Amino acid sequence: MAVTYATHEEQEAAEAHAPYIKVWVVLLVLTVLEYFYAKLMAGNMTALVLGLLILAGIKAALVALYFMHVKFEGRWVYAIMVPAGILAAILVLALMPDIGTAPENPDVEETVWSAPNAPLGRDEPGVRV
Amino acid sequence: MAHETATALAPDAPASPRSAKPLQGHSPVTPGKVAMWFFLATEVMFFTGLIGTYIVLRAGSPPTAYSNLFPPASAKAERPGLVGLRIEQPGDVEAVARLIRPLYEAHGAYYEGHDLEHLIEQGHAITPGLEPEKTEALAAQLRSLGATVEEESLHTYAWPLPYDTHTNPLSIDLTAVNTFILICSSVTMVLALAAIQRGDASRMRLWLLATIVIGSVFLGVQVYEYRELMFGHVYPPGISADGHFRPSSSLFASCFFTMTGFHGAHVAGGIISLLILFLTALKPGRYTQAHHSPIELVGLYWHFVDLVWIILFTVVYLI
Repeated sequence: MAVTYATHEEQEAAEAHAPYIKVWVVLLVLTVLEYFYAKLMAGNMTALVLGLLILAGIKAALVALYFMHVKFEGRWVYAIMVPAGILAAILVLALMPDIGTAPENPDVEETVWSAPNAPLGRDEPGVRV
Repeated sequence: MAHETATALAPDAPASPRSAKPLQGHSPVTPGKVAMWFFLATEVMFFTGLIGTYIVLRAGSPPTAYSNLFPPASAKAERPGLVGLRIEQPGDVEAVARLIRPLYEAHGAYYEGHDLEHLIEQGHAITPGLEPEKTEALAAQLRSLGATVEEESLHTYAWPLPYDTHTNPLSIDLTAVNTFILICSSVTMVLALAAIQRGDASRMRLWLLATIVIGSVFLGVQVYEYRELMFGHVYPPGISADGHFRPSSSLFASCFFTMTGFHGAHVAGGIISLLILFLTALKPGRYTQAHHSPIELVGLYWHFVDLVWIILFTVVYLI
């Protein structure tokens, strides 16, 4: 992905003439696409999540590659960012068993579902039935 | 300084026999740039922590945590078969509010002042879920007050869905425009850097100013959004028990304000940095084709903030 340059000047010249406006237009088109895709796929969670994450990933990659000049930098940028991303992902995944996949509270099932006609708490004042 | 450092680090001087070899690989890297990328790595961990925790909390949210008829996290939403009433035409607003206010309060929804009247007038009022026979009796009373009502059965969700006005108050339209605005500011920033890399200082100043203005517009829209969510609009009980979307309203609300708030603080920090950059750039010769490292470094930060927003907009608003 990273392009190599022999000198700092060469790299700067490449950065100065990168196709920023083209990238900007692509980003705008992708944002509009995201907006309508989210509207169309509102009922289909799998397609929604998959499609939107792909679109967001492309947008984020374009910003990183062209605006943050990752395309023009050496691989050292990846050497810094990839371990950081992996460590952060491990932290998040470590939380998943405790919170993300916690078993449902059995007490709730017992108290509510076993007594479907029980009052909903206080009487509903103001409603004459 | 950056250029000088880069030149100093460049292995093109015949310092050792190794330097006689033709240069392979990329150009030298300035210490400032390395430091900025290390800082951005910590920011990656910070925002991954925030977004990842949001995903984990969402995954672990009980399937009945949000509903169209009860405030968030109400245990009453776990009981199936309940029916609420959507008040489409209010009729006698005051009388309707007097009738349904105690019902709301009995189900943990407390509207202050005239908030409930506003909710009824806007046509967003929906009564808490009752057994069908009680709902029929209530509907008859509401109709006798001139209201038009429509029955609405209980729907529950683990997390508020986008575009669902009963559980989700976020305006995707407004935020899509704001995302567009922030992307534009990223372009003006990179054009400022490109201008000074070509030696055009006056154009660089213009682009910097444009970035500051556009970034401030983004922040202004976010402040407006916060104001509307927290104080302006009155929402049905499925969004908040007190009619306003505030950090204490629900887990979704606290996640939303934490993530977008921290991002907003980053944008504010970026605008301050850009402002300092712009003011120093007013001095002729301060930044040149050979010396413009601060512009590149602040630009890196600004683009990173834009990149984070692209992810946040997708994860928090659209999914």
